[in-house]
Amino acid sequence: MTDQMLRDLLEERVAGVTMDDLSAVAWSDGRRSRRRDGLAVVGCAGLVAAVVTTGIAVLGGDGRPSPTAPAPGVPTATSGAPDGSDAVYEGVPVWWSLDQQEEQELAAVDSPLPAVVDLEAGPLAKAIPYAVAAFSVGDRVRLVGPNGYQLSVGISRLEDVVKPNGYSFRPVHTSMLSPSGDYVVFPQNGSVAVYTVAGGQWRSIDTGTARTLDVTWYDDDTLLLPREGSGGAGPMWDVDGTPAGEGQRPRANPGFDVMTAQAYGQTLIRGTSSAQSWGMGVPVPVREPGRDVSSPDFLVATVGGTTSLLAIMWNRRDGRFKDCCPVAGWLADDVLVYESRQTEPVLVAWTVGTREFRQVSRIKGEYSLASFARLS
Amino acid sequence: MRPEDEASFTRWASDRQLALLRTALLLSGDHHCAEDLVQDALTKVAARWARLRDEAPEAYARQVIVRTNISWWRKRRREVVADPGDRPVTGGEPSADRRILIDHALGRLTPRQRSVVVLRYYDDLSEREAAAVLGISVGTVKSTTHDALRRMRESSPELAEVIGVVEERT
Repeated sequence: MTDQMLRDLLEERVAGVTMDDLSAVAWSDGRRSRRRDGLAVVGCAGLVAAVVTTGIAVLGGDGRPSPTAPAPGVPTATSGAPDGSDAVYEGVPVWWSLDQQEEQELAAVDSPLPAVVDLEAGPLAKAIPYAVAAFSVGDRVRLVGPNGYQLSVGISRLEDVVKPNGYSFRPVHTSMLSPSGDYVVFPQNGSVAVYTVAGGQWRSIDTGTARTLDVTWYDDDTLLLPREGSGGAGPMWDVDGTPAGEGQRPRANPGFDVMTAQAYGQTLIRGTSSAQSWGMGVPVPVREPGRDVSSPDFLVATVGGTTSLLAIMWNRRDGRFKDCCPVAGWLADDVLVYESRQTEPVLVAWTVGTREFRQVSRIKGEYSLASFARLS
Repeated sequence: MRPEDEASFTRWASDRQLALLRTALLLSGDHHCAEDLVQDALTKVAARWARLRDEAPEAYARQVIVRTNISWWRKRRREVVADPGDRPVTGGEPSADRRILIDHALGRLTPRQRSVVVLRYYDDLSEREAAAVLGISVGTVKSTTHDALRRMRESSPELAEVIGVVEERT
């Protein structure tokens, strides 16, 4: 007998299946979906423009909106920009994010995350089956379960990790939660500590002399310890502690000179799509020079072979945190989620290569960093 | 969209939807859920038809079905703790018995294990192709296949002869 027999069994199981023709309905729904997406941009932009104009009238320095300021969020024609993008930098289409206030007013999008993650009020649970997100809060990690309930895990048992330069830090990082949400990994000195979310067990994996500082997940069950910072090759271990050979994750490469900008957060890879956040230092075009901070943080996302740059707009009425906007995950093949770290942090979904933005979650309470499981 | 796009999409969808439904049914184990998965996938293909028509619409549709099924399963998991129950009682028509056994065996798998089995042994994808659909490494496809076949063999010993041989070949 061969694997053909299993194939035959599976084929026999579904041989008698029939269905109504769905093609016409699918075409109609697909067209409606395209139209709704288009309208959503306009509708959202209109709402945002109204809110921000009101904000300027109340908060602006002289009480008057700038006569030259384009309405935020409204598509702006830019000569020479491909695909209707806002600008071009080094041949890469540039799209402008919303600013901090505009992000607060976005319409919601459905996601595995709750609409509000309240790190102060919970709700807390004694157990969760897996986590969709992990937030570092003081000496605890707050794990957010699929139903919105949170599990608070103390990490005081873990030792600080010492960098080669002698500095030490608490062993939390943006890649600590596994893509499946089943495990959380923490670097230690000569080992990594793995926490199993469903059972609440801790396990230590001896990694010998391997560098643990940038431990990350190669896949759902395999840990990768890059030798030279994030990205690059290194030894791997299965989550049960078995050595798993050598592996490598791609390094972030936006395809242009990043000057003094440094990559931060995790490098998101999904099939042929990728995304990475970068800090300040590259003079990408901004929406309104003088109003928006120059050389801002930016995200580079590649979807379907096309690279897009999202320049993070930053008006001066309020602050964005340093390294404000690490990428968090993909809601769909072309919908990227990023953190917007500010006084009132939010998670924002951007349909790559468009002006469509949605709000995934509001985050209440202070945290030092977050890590996310696969969001779709 | 070009005027002929609707015709070409309808032609493609009419031709491939039943195959997609069968995959979806094996993945989800539920006919209504499978139809919803196919409807969702076809709608997404239709919305992107201008980009997909000359590429690989079926591969994209299959990826949507597989990933959406896992996503829906994870959402359902918070509401219902699925219990496939004890081993099924058989003794009727041989074909019906095999169907019950394969349902039971598949029902014992995690969504990812089930996806790997269906993609590898029903859709006949290579390990690399299955890895791309699921967004995981080839190594994980191999280990997941191994675990899945072992679990199927343990849960349905009547299938052990088939599954045991398959495992030796993976």
